[in-house]
Amino acid sequence: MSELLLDRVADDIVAALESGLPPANEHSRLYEDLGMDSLMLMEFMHLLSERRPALGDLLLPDIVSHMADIGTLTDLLRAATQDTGPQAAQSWGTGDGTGQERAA
Amino acid sequence: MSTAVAASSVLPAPAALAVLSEPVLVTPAGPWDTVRRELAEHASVVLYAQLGDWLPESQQDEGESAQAEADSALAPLLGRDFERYRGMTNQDVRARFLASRLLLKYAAGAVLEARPADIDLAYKPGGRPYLRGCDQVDISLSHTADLLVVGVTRRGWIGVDAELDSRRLQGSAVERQICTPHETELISRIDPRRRNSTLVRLWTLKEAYSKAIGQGLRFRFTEFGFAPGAQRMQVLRPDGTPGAGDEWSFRTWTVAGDYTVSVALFDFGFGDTADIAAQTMLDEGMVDALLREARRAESHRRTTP
Repeated sequence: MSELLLDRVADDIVAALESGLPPANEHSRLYEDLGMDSLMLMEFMHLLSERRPALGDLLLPDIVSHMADIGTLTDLLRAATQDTGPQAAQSWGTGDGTGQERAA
Repeated sequence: MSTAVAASSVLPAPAALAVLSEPVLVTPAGPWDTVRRELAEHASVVLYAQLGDWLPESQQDEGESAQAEADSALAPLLGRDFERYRGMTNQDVRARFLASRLLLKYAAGAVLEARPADIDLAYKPGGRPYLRGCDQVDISLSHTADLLVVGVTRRGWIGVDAELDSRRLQGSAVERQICTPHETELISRIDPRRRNSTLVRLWTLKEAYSKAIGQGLRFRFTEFGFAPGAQRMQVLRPDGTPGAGDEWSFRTWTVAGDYTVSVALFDFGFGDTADIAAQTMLDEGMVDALLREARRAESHRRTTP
């Protein structure tokens, strides 16, 4: 069940990155709407890196504060790859600080 | 004559390793006396609960209008969490969010001798929950599947985390994201049949520690570690050398048959404040300001037609 969900969301984001269009479910929130917990988020980062190697190694601590919803995450990934290429993840700073609730 | 002062003479000595009893199973009916006694004796207590015991019956009713009516009744109890709760569309997340906040408020109300609805649950910028106006008591919260866990301490910081024993981590992408080189080496020597349970335990310990320091998932789990199988658990650097002192204590239990629960405790070493009733703990200046504001509002109400 969770693997299907992660697959579907990763497909949505990768398609958006390739097309330049917003993702189909851009307003879906990863925790409140999709129910992703901490471990699922880690798996999700790995899945995105696999599907889109240009993103480099995505590490959850670098991104977790920017993951309000799928649209926000897609924008961040798009901007990072356009600005600095595959090493973008290393320069992603802190965001809105919403990390700990997902750790619950 | 040396004027140097030994650090140990000016800093509070780290307390002896925290003693923690087994987690206490609670329902809305209690046993709150046991919780208060555990906190009085050990300065910290870990509670756990079954999700179903903390969901109001009205929340289990079908139908949008019934749910909306039930939601509005929850507004005073959930306080600042209500809007976020109302906006959640995933029913499992919504149920766990509600039940965990109710558990937390009942637990805090029990130890502070206050009504659950009067507990002001707030969040720090990183998302860490705290009891506003009661800084001497620290809390932590975890929930997964049908289990809710709350940690309470009056000695420093606390972090708790829970995970299903059966959660598959071995061989997953997560394994590489959470283990230090030292941990990877130690785990490779463990009987393969025990590796997944060891990883689940490591994960909960790291989550508990990261929550206790207020970092949550923003802290890289490969930058600190533990020694699986060690008699006394302590924070290690990635190479396995000690990374923190005696002020930290860790415990892990199997709870409700299917869950691994870990707690991380940081003891400030300032000694106990046995009386933590909200009335005693509220800052006097803040109370004066609140009373002044209440009197001003009352005066304004009387003079306004």
